[in-house]
Amino acid sequence: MARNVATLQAPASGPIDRTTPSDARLRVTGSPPVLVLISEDPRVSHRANEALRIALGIVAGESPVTIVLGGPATRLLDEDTDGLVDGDDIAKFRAALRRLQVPFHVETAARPADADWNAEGHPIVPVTAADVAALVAQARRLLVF
Amino acid sequence: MARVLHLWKADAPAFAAEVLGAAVAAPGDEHTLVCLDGAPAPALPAAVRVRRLAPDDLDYAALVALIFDADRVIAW
Repeated sequence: MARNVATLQAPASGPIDRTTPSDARLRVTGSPPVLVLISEDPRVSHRANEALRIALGIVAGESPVTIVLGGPATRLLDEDTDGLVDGDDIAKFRAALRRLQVPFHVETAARPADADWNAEGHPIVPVTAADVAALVAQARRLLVF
Repeated sequence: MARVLHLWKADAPAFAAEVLGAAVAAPGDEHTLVCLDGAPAPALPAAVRVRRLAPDDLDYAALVALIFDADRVIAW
């Protein structure tokens, strides 16, 4: 069961590939969410993994959470985690988020074209900078990494 | 109209600059951006008030006053 999730057009099940993100309607469950915006490159920085860990910790609490991956942080969904700093932890945390049905909002322009990207089929919501700005406006807190 | 204070750091990621630009472009709120530690201000609409934590602008006391005066503070 999904918990503590606030998202743009939350997926009913499985991954979605939204082609018209600007038409998305905001669905909010419970109180305003905490928005975790991750832009750090997990191939070179520990901060991306730490951001993921913190997001998971918030999900485990009472606050709804929206996770946004922008820029090189989209590499957090690379199938091969050997190339990522703290790759084992990243695999563990994203698996936990997947079990909790917490989608990743992914910057459309930064989505890797690699065939093996998001091979685990994590639910994703493509977003533009304008979409993220809308999420920022309605978030209770914003954490930027 | 909410008063939104943005704290902008030199190492803010490029995507944050894009999101900030979209956020301040939306009508309805009054935005002030404070550049910390010599951070260059990103390109923003003219309506956004840009301040600097610097000897010729804000000192820490004034920054704290701005923080408490804002309805919302975002540390990018």
